[in-house]
Order: sequence, then structure tokens, then C-alpha cells
Amino acid sequence: MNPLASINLSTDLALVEARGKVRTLAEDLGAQAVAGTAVATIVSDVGRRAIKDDLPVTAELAIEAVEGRTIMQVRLSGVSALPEVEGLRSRFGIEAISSTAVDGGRPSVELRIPTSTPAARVDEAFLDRERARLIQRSPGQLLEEVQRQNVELSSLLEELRDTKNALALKARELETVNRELESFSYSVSHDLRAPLRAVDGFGLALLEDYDAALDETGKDYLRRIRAATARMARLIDDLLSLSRLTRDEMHVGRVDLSRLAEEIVAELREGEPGRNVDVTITPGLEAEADAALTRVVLVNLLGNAFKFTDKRDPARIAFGAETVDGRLWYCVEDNGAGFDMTYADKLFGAFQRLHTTDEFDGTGIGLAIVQRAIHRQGGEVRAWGEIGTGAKISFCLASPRIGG
Amino acid sequence: MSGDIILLVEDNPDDVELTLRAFRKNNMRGEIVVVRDGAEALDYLFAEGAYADRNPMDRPALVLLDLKLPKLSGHEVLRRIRSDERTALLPVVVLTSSREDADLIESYSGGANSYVRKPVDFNEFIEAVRQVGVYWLALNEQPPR
Ligand SMILES: Nc1ncnc2c1ncn2[C@@H]1O[C@H](COP(=O)(O)OP(=O)(O)OP(=O)(O)O)[C@@H](O)[C@H]1O
Ligand SMILES: [Mg+2]
Repeated sequence: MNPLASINLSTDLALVEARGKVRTLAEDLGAQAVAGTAVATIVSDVGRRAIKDDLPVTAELAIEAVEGRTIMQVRLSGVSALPEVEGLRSRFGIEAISSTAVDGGRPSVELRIPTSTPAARVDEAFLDRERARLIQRSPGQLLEEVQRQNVELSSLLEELRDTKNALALKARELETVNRELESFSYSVSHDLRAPLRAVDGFGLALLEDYDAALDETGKDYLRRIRAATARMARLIDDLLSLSRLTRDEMHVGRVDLSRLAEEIVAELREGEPGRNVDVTITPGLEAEADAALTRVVLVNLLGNAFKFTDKRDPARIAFGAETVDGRLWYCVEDNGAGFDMTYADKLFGAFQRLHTTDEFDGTGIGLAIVQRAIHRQGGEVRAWGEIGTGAKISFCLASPRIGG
Repeated sequence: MSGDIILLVEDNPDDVELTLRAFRKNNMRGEIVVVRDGAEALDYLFAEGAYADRNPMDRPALVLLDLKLPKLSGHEVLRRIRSDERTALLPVVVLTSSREDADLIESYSGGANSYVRKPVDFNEFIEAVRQVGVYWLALNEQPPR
């Protein structure tokens, strides 16, 4: 036997080395993986006993060709019997050959492991390559490898700690931003309104108490001041509802969109009893969504549909759903004033409008709110329009589904 | 019974003037005492500090309480009013610019009798003041003093 590798099983590191080499060779020769592991375990067990009893034991790895097949050999010198080898034969076809001490030599046990490598492939070049591979796993290199992995591990740990710290920092920042947002919207709602109330109140006081002292132009100016004040108050309220949309917690559950739409349309009709509006609502549309946010979406979309069809008789409004690109899109469609698609991307900005307040009343916050409510739920919204024909706003939610 | 005293706790002079005007517009009788912060409100109610000469038994028929006040906040004033047996039953109406739900909830759970959001439109404000006056001064049966 001309061994490919020989290891003295005298230190813990040598056991690790032997284990690794047995597995490498078994793998390279195409022995069953479990067989390789079983033999490697036997080798390190034997080695551990040898270290404990302070007996010299050597493990030698070699290759032998038998009937066109390659057999992997592991010879353990200094060992006379191997109790754990029983059963290996039946399971993996591993043979154990014991030799007693001959010529003053040491007793040994040789384990023979069948492999899938044809004997023809094992030439000098093959053996050289295998020797080189086994040498790579010398104790020094193993140690180096362990050290390298330790360094890697500790840098990974450091990275993990950094990430954790960064996350904690971000969470704290977010908390601060949230608190600032709270106090910002508080002062918007409180401090910004108070002076407005004074402007309006004293403006009215002037109109009432100094009626005789003011000519028509003076009174007109005062009325403009009051109208502007009212508009500003509305802008503040709108801004607040937009910020509230991101502050309030979400509660996702099953929402009946069709019923919600029915309710909203009933309210809208009540607000404009004189109008002739045809409304079609597809029944049974449901979604997993936040009920409050979804209500806000439909109130604004249906509200817009009502508003921008006010010159139509009959006005036609439809709420339905369609599947596009495998996703379910809910849509509100109308036959109203429509809009120029060139500016479609502007619609969703806060206070962006494509119509003047003379044509249609509003501040331009509705669709900004719609978009935020849908984005918060992981969805998307799109707008289509044509001047004089009508508009269609479609949105999808994160996990849409049709119920019955 | 003292005459109807209304204690207006309000730091903003414009709001004071407008509230007084709204009272006049509604022909509401009674004396309106204005205090400018939360600490002064408590001094008045318990006849302490600058109001030590006042008869503490002369309690107002109604307190109109702003929430955002210097020194002691309106919520704090309300808590003190409710936790003192002399004023525990005093009608307190929170009159505020705040449109935050948190303020509404805290006011009611602090024992406010009602909560009125001051509208920007002065005509609406006059109407709100009128309703408060009608309910708390004319209709409401005062608690025993
Ligand atoms: N159904 C629609 N038909 C035609 N134009 C529309 C429609 N919906 C929205 N738009 C256009 O998009 C603009 C922005 O809509 P958005 O709902 O944000 O504001 P608004 O309705 O004008 O005001 P607000 O909703 O704040 O009362 C509108 O001013 C209008 O020009
Ligand atoms: Mg709108």
C-alpha cells in the first residue's frame, strides 16, 4: 500500500484533519456520502480513544483497484479490533480486515470502502491530483482556514451589530419624525386656524358695524377677504386629513366594496336631489383592505364622478372591476367633463387641479388622498380621461379577490 | 345664587374679543370674566392669588375653556376642576380650535360637559356660542352649590 496520506492521530487537530481527508477522498472517489461520513466518524472515534489511552495510532488513506472498480482504503495501525465496524458491511458494503502484529509490527484494521470510480480512471495523474488535494488539508492550513472563518464570522457579527444599531437609530428617527408630525398637525389644526378666525370675525364685524363708512368696493374687498379665509380654512382641513391618513393605524379585514359604494352613492344623491344620475354598481366586489382607507378612496372617486358630471343629463357613473395583467382593478367610470391625458400624472399631486374653481369647485386634495390611501395598502392607482367624454380611475389593492 | 357669571379661559385677545362679540350678538346676559391662562383660571375658581378677595362661594354658572393655554393646559385645568369637590359639578364647555380627536377624547374623559370646535366662519361661531348659551345658561338645571 502506497498511501495518499498518513496522519498520526495524536492531537485534536489531527482528528479534524483525518476526518476531513477521509470525507474528501470518499467524495472524490464517489463513495456513498453516508459511507464516507460513517468511516470518518469511526476514524475520529478511534483517534479519540488513542489520545485518551496515550497509544500511537496512525490513519493511512490509499486506493486499490479490484475487478475494474476502485476501492478506498483506510488503514488504522495500532488498532487490533473495531467494535463499531459491525453492520457497516451490510449497510455500505464496507469490509474490515484485521491483521495481527507481524514481524514486530503493529496490529491494524483496514477498512475497504467501495466507490463508483472505474479503475481505468485511476492513473498517476489522478493520484497526484488527489495527493495534492489531501495535502491542502494539512493541519496548518486547517488552522488558517479556521482562523480566516473566525475573522469572517466576527466581521459578519460586527456587520450584524452595525445593522442592528442602524435599525434602532432609524426606528428612533422615525419615532421623532412621527412625533414631529403629530405636533405639526396639532399646530396646523390649532395655531393656523386661530388667526384665520380673527380675520374672518373682524372682517364681518367691519361689514356689520361700519356699513355706512364703506362704499361698495370696500365691502367687496372685505367679502373677498372672508372668502379667501374660508378657502384657507378648507385647505388646512384638507392638509390635515391627508396627514391623518398616514398617522392612523391600519386594520386590514374583509371589506365589501360594492356595499360601501352603494352607501356613498346614496349620500351623494341626497346631497344633489335634483340631478339625474345613472349609477351602476357591480355587486359582490370584496377585498382584504383597511375599511376606513377604502371608504376614503371611494368617497373621493365617486364624489369626483358626481362633481365632474354635473352638466350631464343623464350623468352615468359605474363602479366595477376588471382583470388586467393578472391583477384585479376596481374602477370608477363616468361620462363627465373628462380631462387632458397629457396632465394625467399631475392629478394625484396635492392641490393639483385640471379644472378651475369657476368650472368645478374643489381644492385638489381628493386624488392625493386617494393615492396615499391606496399606496399605504400596497396598491396602485391609474387615471384615464378624455375631454368631453369622461374619466376612469382604476385602483388595485395588495391582495385583491372577488367574493360572492 | 350669584348672577350668571361666565368664566372665559382664553389667552388669545382676538378670540376673547370675538367671543365677547358673539355673546353680544346673541344678546346673552350675565357677566363675563376673562382669565388669560390656566393658573389664573384656578386662582379665580378657588379664590386664591390675585383673586384671594373673592368670595369662593360665588362660582360661575359656566366655564368656557380653551385647551391650548400658557402655564397650565386646558386639560390640566379641567382635571383640577373635577378633582376638587367645590367645583366637581361645575359645567365646563371646552371651546377650542383643535380638530384633533385626541383632544376631544381627552376632554370628555376628563369630565368636560361638552366640546365645541371653534369654526373659522364667524357666523358659525356666533351660532355655536348661541347654542352653548341656550343650553348651559337657559335650559340646563344648575347643580346645587
Ligand atoms: N372624474 C373626473 N373627471 C374629470 N376630471 C377629474 C375627475 N377626477 C379628478 N379630475 C381632475 O383631477 C383634479 C384633481 O382631483 P381631486 O379630487 O384631487 O381634486 P378636486 O376634486 O378638484 O378637489 P377636492 O377633491 O379637494 O374637493 C380635479 O380638479 C380634476 O381636474
Ligand atoms: Mg375630488
